[in-house]
Amino acid sequence: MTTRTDEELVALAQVGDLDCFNQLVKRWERPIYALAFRTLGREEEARDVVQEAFLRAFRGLKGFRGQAKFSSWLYRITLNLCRDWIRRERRAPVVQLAEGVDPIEVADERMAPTESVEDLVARQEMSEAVARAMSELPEEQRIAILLKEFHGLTFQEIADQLDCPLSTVKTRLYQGLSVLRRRLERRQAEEASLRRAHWEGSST
Amino acid sequence: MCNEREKLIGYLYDECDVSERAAVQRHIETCAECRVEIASLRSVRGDLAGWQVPEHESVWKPFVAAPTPRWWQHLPQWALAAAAGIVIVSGAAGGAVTHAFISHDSQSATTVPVGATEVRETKQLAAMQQQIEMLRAELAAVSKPTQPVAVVASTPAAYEDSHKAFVRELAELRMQSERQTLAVESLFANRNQERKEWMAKIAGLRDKLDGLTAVLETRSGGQQ
Repeated sequence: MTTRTDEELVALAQVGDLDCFNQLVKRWERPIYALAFRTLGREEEARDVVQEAFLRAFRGLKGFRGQAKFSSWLYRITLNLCRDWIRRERRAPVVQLAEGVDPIEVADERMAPTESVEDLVARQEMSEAVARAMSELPEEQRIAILLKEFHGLTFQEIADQLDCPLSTVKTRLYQGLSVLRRRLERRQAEEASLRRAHWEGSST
Repeated sequence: MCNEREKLIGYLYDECDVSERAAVQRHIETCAECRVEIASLRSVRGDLAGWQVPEHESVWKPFVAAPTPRWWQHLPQWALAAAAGIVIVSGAAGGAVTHAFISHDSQSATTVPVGATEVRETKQLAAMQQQIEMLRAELAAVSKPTQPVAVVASTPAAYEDSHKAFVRELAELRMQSERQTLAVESLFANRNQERKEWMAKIAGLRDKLDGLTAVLETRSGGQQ
């Protein structure tokens, strides 16, 4: 059986084929959740945004004329919902750390077959460090990086999403990545210094 | 080149034309500063790739299409009433004609078995009405609002929890509402076509009734 394209599924969903809309949700739920989670930094709110985004898409489906890709339209709905949430709550994204979870306990589930516990912990720490550094970026830089790095949008597609010129997208990407690099380097330097102090403390 | 971030970003993401790419390539071979810059931007991209998203269950409850009802399951009340009236009158007229034919011409009477047909249709109509009532009851049950979440909050944390529960409940209600709208739309999707079919049936019955009435009148005229 051939897989239907988004455009085909949208056309069928527009004339009332609910299963086709379900298929679109199944196809796009994971990327949309990832975008919402990385934008807001909160799992529960990200889930709410995903549900609302698909409901809005469903309600607006008849008016969708295919002027943009379905995924671009969905990204725009999701980003608008995330922005609304941030403005309404007047909150910056947070970094959600796993509470009361011992990384060693979950190691069996999450570890790649060749990964040691130390590697797993390091990977989680890096993930949290990146999340923290990203949460401190200005919203527009953060979203530009998310769309580029995790969703593979072109510069032009990001410009369309953010309603800004192409050159602004490149500037935001460059500035965002530069700030991230400095923060991550600083963190690595701090960790190295802590390790050194720990080693020196334990050797005396 | 060192101040042209756009070109470096285009090169980094491989989103530039061939000549621009070649120009950046030539530049970074001679400019140590830009070489370091590109390397560190690539490194931060590598770090970003390690940003994990927690696993999550699907939040979407798939839409399920409402079963397609049989044509008579969503006839309007007025059509049913009109149809029932016509059927009863036709049945009565048919009975009278049959009686008249049996009384005066037993051979002809067997050629007009209208009464039996109408009785069958009356039974069918009664069944239809029952189905409609069942459908109404189903719709009423589906439309019944769920109980609101009890908000008992003694501390700010408890308040936030109950607020979140309320928001979730609200989202669930909205989903339900969407599904109900969809069910209703689905129920009435073929209504016009089916109404036309039903009206054609009514028109046929009316013609039959007119014919029978004419026969009846002729007979009674002949008798007088």
